[in-house]
Amino acid sequence: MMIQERFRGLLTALLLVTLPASNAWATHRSEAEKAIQDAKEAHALAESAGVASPETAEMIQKAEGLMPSRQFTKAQETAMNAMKQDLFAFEQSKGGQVDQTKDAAAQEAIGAAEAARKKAASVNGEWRDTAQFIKEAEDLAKSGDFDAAIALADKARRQGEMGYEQALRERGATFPSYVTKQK
Amino acid sequence: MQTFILSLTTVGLACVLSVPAFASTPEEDKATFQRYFQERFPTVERQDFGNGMYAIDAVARENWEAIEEFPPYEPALSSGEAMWNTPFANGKTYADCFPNGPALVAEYPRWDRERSMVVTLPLAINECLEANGEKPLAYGKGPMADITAYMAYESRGQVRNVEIPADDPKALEAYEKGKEFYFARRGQFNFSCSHCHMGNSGTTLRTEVLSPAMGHTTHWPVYRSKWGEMGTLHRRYKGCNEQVRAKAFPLQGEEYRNLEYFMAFMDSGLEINGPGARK
Repeated sequence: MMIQERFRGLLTALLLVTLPASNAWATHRSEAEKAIQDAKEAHALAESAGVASPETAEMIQKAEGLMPSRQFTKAQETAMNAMKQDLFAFEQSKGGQVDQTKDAAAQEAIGAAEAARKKAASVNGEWRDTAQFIKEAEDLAKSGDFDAAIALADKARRQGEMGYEQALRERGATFPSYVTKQK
Repeated sequence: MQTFILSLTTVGLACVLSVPAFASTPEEDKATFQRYFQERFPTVERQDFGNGMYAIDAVARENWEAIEEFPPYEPALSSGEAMWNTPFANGKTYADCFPNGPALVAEYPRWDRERSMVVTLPLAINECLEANGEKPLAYGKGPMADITAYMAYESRGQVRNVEIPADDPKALEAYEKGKEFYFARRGQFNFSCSHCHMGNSGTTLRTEVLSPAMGHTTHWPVYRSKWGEMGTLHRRYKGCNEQVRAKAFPLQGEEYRNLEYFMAFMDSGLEINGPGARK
């Protein structure tokens, strides 16, 4: 019992020290600022090769816009996504190899996801995150991460399918069975 | 012959079973709805349902009553009153659009026969503004919440009395669409409005007590502590839909106006007690 208590105390003390110092804690402002700086450098590199997109510039601006409200994790994530896209575009401009088969598969998956989303929307069954997943899949494909793009697009497609089925199933919805009808 | 009789019986049974088990008139729905909550919360006075979870949770009520001594919606009342009394650029005022105003919240939502649609008060306000060459207001918060707060405050005590004209089938259709919306599961979490606010009303979801659906439309707009500002009913609809991970609909679009039509009809007989203060 005493050993257990001491161990518990030691573990608590260890966690109190290591957690704040580690990445398991929140993103620090400096990490987000570095990510934004890295993204700007990647964007400049892409611009020098004439392949920078306005979209990644917007993403960097969005990341900077998140800093005053201390959304450092989101800012870091947005900046890193912009950086990945610009670096990929730069590599392509310098003759980098692209897996055309996977690229095509990613585009097909994204197209199928968008079709499923629209079908769900046509019956007012679209879910909250589907469009965002499709956008993120497009960004992943633009970064050359085709496997992740396909996985996310498939997830979005499945959401669209389920949203459509759900909307049709719920037509005519009325009082639940536990409610006694009054006349 | 036996096969023929069996087939007829099967077809007959299929027809009977396919009839909705809960086919009902709006009046029957209202009686069902209100009876359900009065039985579920037998110690709550009928008019007190307009106070939401503060009608069923004594500790929360004590806190809420303390807040109501210096209500956070007071600045909205002042702003709203100033808006009501300030002429538009053309010299007219809101009173020219709403001669019965500002105390007319109980008249809305109402059925517009000419346009075959539900008209809510915020929609009518924006139509007034546009007819007088003014810019329409955003529907979720800001000046729209302020002026509707003022009008709600002036309307306190009026009894909600929504009409569904019996001689206009499109009005009933709008009501039925609102009803279907209310009870339909939606979003990734597969919840309907009724899951939280009927069957689970009075239970705890994370740190909050789920309010009963009866009285849900009487106290808007509200100052919601979570928002740190005033917000409208349709703003809350959007939030609720997104919380169950369904894509929200446009504020004051057909879906939410029909939903408000249904919910307001269910609240018939309850007094307007807006604006409100909520967590």
